[in-house]
Amino acid sequence: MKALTLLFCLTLPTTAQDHSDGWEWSLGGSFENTFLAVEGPSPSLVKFDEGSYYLPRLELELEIRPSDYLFFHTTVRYDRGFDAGDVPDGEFRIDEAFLRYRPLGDQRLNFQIGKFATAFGGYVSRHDFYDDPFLVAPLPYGEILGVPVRNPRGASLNAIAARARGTAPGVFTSPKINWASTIWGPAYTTGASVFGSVGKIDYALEIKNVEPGAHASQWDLKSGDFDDPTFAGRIGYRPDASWNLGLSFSRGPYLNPEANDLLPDGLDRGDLPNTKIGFDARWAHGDFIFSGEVIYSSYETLQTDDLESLSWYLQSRWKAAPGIWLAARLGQTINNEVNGLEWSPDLFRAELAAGWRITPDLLLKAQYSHTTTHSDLDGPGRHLFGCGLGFRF
Amino acid sequence: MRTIIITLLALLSPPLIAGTVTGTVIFPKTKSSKRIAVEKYTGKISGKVAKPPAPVAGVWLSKKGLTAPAKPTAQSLDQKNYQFGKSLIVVAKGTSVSFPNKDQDYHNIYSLSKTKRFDLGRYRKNEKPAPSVVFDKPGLVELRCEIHEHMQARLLVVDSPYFAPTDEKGHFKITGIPAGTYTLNAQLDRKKKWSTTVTITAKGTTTVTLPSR
Repeated sequence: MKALTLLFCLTLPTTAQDHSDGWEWSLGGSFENTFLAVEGPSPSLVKFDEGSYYLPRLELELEIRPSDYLFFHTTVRYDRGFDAGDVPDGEFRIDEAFLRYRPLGDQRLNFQIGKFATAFGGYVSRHDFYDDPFLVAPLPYGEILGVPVRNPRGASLNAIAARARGTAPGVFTSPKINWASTIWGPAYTTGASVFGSVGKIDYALEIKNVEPGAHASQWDLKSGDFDDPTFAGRIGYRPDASWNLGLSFSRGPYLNPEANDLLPDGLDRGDLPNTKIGFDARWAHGDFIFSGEVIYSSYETLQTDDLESLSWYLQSRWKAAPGIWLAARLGQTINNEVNGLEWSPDLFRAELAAGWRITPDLLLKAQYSHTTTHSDLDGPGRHLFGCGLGFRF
Repeated sequence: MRTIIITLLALLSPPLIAGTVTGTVIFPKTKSSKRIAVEKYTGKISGKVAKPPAPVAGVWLSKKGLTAPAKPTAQSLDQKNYQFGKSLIVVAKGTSVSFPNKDQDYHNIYSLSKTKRFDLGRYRKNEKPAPSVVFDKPGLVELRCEIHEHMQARLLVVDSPYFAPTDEKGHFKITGIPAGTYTLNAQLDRKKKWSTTVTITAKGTTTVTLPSR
């Protein structure tokens, strides 16, 4: 905590920018203080047992634009883990670092390389503390599934049956790093992309080292490999300013690279892909924003039928007064059965949030999530309460 | 008849004896708080982003008993190419200011300034009527777009009929001022403001440099 305070103090005087002679650069950031209280096992992508947890996060953003054709961005964070509680003593992490080349000098055509958020879906572009009315991600982006990523035999009928009987640790009572999420938060994975906007159409195609449902520990270049890359993309349509519609896809191996050693001879992780298809929609006007997504995800396994999951959320935000808004969100995850056995619990989540933008750069948010498990399997805890205060500089 | 004559005299006489104040506001070097206008993620900008408008200051005269006109002319501050049309506009207290959107994408202009808190919500290009706000209290209003963080502008509300913006070099000119002694005020942003005493003479031009040397 001392290191965090010192870093924060050292950073303030360095916040700067320059716009001279065509070169532009800026160094800014934010300091976010989030307090979470959960009834364990903790729901969402947070990692601590029943109780409460304080998550300070210092974020620095450096942006450099030498010309209309080049742009560099990096986001560095110091916090207690990307998933709250992963690293209780704190860590520095480069969450995003990418170089963008715009051959036409505008948004029509962009080539990008580095570590950056996935193009899949509609949530990722609004996941920053100041853009997202909630403190935790919506269900498809913020909850694990019973898809084992470290041991392929964890998806065998015997293993699924053992978890169903309670003779093996359940999905929510073993470390979250063992499992996949439909999409893991913003999925700052590593690779390259081509994207742009032409008239009412947005497009993006990316090749990444791991699939967007992989745990945060897998996002760096040292993880995954490009022998078995993940391809993902989104095609968007904006008929007018009110609407933003998108279709997304992703296909790539969901097993971690070390799982190759546990696969039968002749197979590697590339032979067991995950396929995702998503639809996102957003409508906004005046004081209202409505958005939602539905994502179908299918995982090929060694011994069983495919594990299939459908996850959706709908959310709305309403501005009650200047700087004050209320938000509500519903989400659900439904999974198929394999030989009559449940492999991951079906979940339903209802959430409420409120925000107060005290100044343009000082934001207070609060959230309550209620999760119910519609399954014989153990699920996550029912309640999550959070509040956060963020200061942008 | 007498009332009409007096009214006509009142309307006609000020220009005949009016003076002018002109001069320069010397802008100190400022650190802009603007972010680079490139989207980290896509979906908020579908056109080319213009350079931000050059900084200008607002200049106005104040004097005991001097107030803004009862029905000031409506003003407008548009958003085009993902920038405000001007970095600062000066309006009299009680002015209605509209904020027309001339881009394909939404804008959402808001202010959390003490002088005026408002939030226009999301509105599209050429929306009729363009969202507007009446500024009924003097002071500085800092304007932002909730969607496009790099967009920033200021609106200076003055309780005076005599005001003008500078140009980007700091030059200004206010005409039609009755002779007398006034306080000349200039303001660039929340912290940078100056004032000095000026004497306006009938048909004369007073030249001032701010800050005073």
